[in-house]
Amino acid sequence: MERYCGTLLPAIKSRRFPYANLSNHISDTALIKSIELMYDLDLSFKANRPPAKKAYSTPECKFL
Amino acid sequence: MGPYDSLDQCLYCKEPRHNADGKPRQTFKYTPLIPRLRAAHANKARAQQMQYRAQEHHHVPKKTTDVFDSTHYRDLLHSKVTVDGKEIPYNFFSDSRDIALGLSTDGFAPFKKRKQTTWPFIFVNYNLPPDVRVHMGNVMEAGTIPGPKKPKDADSFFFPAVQELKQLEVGVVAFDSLSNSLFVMRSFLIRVFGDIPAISMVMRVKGHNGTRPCRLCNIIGIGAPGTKTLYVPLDRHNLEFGATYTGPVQYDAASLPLRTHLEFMAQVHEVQNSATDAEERKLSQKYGIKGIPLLSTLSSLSFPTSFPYDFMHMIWENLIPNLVLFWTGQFKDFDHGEDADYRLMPTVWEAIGEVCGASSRTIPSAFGAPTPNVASEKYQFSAENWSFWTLYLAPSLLKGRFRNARYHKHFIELVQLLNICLQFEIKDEEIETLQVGMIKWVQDYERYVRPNSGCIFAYMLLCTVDSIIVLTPNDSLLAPSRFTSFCILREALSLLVQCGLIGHF
Repeated sequence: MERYCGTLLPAIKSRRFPYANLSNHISDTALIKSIELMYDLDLSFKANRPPAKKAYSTPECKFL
Repeated sequence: MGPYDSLDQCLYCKEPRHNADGKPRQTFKYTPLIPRLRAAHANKARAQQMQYRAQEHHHVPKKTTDVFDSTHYRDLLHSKVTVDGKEIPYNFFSDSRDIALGLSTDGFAPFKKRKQTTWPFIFVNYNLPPDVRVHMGNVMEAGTIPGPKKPKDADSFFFPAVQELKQLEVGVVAFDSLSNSLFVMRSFLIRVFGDIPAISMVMRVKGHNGTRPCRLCNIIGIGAPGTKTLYVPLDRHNLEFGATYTGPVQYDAASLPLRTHLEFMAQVHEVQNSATDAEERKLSQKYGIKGIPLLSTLSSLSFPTSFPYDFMHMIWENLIPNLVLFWTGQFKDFDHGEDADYRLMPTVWEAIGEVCGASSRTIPSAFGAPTPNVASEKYQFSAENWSFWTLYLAPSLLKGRFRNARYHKHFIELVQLLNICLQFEIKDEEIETLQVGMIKWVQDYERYVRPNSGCIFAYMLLCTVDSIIVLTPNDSLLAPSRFTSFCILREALSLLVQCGLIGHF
């Protein structure tokens, strides 16, 4: 619960109608989550590629 | 919708409901639950995960590992569902697809000045395995009761949610992706959790400042001399209390006057049906109950046992910080006396603080957030910090620092009890150990620290043990590893310790 409130804080973008803004945010995220479940999608804008490996070693020369 | 559907003005402030154009002046947006549960069943992977309650969790007698081992849940398995007074011919959770839900709410201040509050509430799906059910993506946000003030009538905001929950008790049609067929989906609310003000609001009880401060038992609070705050010491010999005090002079810690569902509901109705306002006020003060809570219309909830104290708020945010205030002689406005031997010398406390601050450099980050200096940066302490400090740092840091060694021993006894509370699996013998240990701890506390007043959080310890048996209040039981357990204790919505568990939320 505390953590959930923590994520709501930065979600408030409107200074004039903060509560309406917050309500819309909540219902929108709920909608996205439902769509994800119904159509088996991943709508989080996460980059799923593996992190680039830093290659310090070459076949000839090994970095220890 | 709801009981106020036909009203044209507010019951409390008499403001008109509509503006000149005939449009509502304020709206509250509730996000329905049923479509989301339907979506969850329609998703094969999620539906499989939700079989945890029925398939993967095995109840072993005399062991507690999850909410499904609680006596409340086990009792529900053998009882019939009742909706609006009508018994329906099936038991709770008779289908493996029935969903167990938890409700949580909390007030938080959206702006820096912390003058305004808003009250979001969320549903937790207990059918999911314990390690993922509180992840951010799996928590179902239902709506937020708009600010800027605490709602006068919170139940009017819960109305659509309770309507839906009732519908779910009867059953709605949904598609099951595991068997590729339509089925009757049911869902039951078994638990409500949150901090004391939030739960007091939902249960419509007076809360921790009332004359009956505890929502689990009927203990009566008495005022300490010179302060308005009420305290609940067990031993009330040699204490001044007002002429109106009718309680006993000694409470037996082993048999506190616990509230029961029947008694609670009888009192609720007595308050609600009182003839005059004055009588209602008197009764409500006497019982610590304001009126009929809307959630009491759900047969899957039991008052007050479905509303256990939250471990994080109780221990890490209150009990331990209060103990520290005692040791540093700052607890409330009591005259602690310079020579009270439970007090640590200021220089000693500063030295302990310095060691705390320095310790974070040598403790691996897997143990959680770095511990600040407990003496000078105490305001930075989060529940996670308190937990780590209490369980791992304080036992050795405090050793030999008290003028009387019994205070250190007393603290160690508490740490041992807390360690049992945090286990993933609690055996019945350990619950007995907890019961005996907590009673002894509270009695010693009363004897050592402050002979004539007791901080309520110490007394809540006594109620905790019952909660473990009845409802497993500790979400800690759900943690995958020891060192992430405290983030679960924060009623936890994610298990990633590294991910922003810094500071106070």
